[in-house]
Amino acid sequence: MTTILLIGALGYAVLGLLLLIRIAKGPTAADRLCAADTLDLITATALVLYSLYCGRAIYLDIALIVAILGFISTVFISRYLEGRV
Amino acid sequence: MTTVILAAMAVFLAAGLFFALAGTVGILRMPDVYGRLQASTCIATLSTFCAAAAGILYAVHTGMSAGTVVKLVLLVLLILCTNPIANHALCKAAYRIGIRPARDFVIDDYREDFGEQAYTEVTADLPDEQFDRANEPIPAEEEGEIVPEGGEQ
Amino acid sequence: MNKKISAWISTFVFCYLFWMLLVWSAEPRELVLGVLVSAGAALFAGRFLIHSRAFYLFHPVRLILLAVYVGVIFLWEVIKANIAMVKLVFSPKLSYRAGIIRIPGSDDIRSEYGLAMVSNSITLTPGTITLNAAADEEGHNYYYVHWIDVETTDRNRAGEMIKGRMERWIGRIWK
Repeated sequence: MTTILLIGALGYAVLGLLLLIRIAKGPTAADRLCAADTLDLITATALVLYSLYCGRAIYLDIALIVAILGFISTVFISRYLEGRV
Repeated sequence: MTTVILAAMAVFLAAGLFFALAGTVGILRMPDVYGRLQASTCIATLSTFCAAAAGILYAVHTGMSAGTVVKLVLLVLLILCTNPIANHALCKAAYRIGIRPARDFVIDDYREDFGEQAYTEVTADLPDEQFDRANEPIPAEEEGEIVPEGGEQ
Repeated sequence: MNKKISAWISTFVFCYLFWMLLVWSAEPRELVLGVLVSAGAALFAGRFLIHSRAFYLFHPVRLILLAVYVGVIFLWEVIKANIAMVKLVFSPKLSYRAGIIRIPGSDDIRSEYGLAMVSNSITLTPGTITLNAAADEEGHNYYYVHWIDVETTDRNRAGEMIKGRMERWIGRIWK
C-alpha cells in the first residue's frame, strides 16, 4: 500500500528532472522562470507523497515552505524583469 | 475495504501523474513562453488536486492525525491562491519586456489599446494602478447584517 | 467602526485561524504565541490586505457559497479546461491560434475582491491567463485575457465563453 506512494513520488521527481531541460535551454529568462515555478510545485507535490510514505510530518512542512517561497520568488523575479522592483 | 482504498489511490495518483506529464510535455513542446505558461497551469490545478486527494485518502485510511489532512488541504488552498498571481505577473512581464509569440496573435487588443507603449520599458504611466475603489463609500445596508463571529472556532 | 481597526481585526482572525490549523494543538503556549504572532502580522499586513468592508466574508451564507463555488463550479470548469489542454498538448501538429482579447466584465461585481477572484479563476483554468483587470472611467470592468485557442473574436461572446458561469457565481458571493 505504501509502495504506490513511493512510485508516485518518484514519478513526480522524474517529471521535475525533465523540466530541467527547459531550464537549461530556455531561450529567454521568462521561459526559465516559468519552468522553475512549475518545478517548485512538482517538488512540493513529490515531498507530500514522500512524507506520507515515510510517515514523517516534517516533509509536509517543508512542502508548504517550498510552495510559499516559490511563489514569492517568481513574483519578485517577474517584477524585476519588468523593470520595477 | 483496503482494496477499494488502494484502487482509488492508484486512480488518483495515475491521474495526477498523467496531468503532470501533460504539463511537462507542454512546457517542453510549446513554441513560446505564453503557451508554456498555459500548459504549466495543468500542473498547478488538477495534478495537485489528484495527488492531494490520494494523500488525504491514505492519511484518513491509516489513521494519521487530523493535522496531516488539514495541512494537505491548506497546501492545495495555498497553491490555488498563489499560483495565478505568479502566472499573471510572469505573463505580463513577458509581454511588457517585448517577448514576441512564435506565431502572431490572432487578435491583440492590448497592443491596440496601448500602442507601442505596451512593449517599452517606460512603465510609469501605464494604467496599472488606476483601479482604486478603496476610497469609495461603503454601502450602508451591508453594515448591519454582518456577523463578525463566523471566523472563530 | 474605524477602518484601520476593522482591517486589523479581520486580518488577525484570518492569521490566527491559519496558525491554529498549521500548529494543530491546543496547548496554552501555542495559543498565546499564536496571538502574539498574528497580532504582529496583522499590524503589518492589514492595510495591504483589507481595503473596505472588512467583515464581509464572515457570514455563513457567503462561506457556504464560496465552498460550493470552489468545490463544484470551479472544479468542473478546471476539469473541462484541463482535458482540452491535454488534447492540445498531445496533438501531433500542436496548432493553435493564440490571442489577447479584451472582454467586458459584468457590472454586478463592484469590489476589488470580486474582480481579483474572477481574474484568478480565469488564470487558473488552463488555456486562459489574465494580463490586466481593471475598471474604466464609467465603472465597467474589463479584463485582458491571453486565450490560447481563440474561437471567436467577438468580445461579448468570448467573455461568455471564458468566464460566464464563474462570474455569475462570484457575483453572488461578492456583490
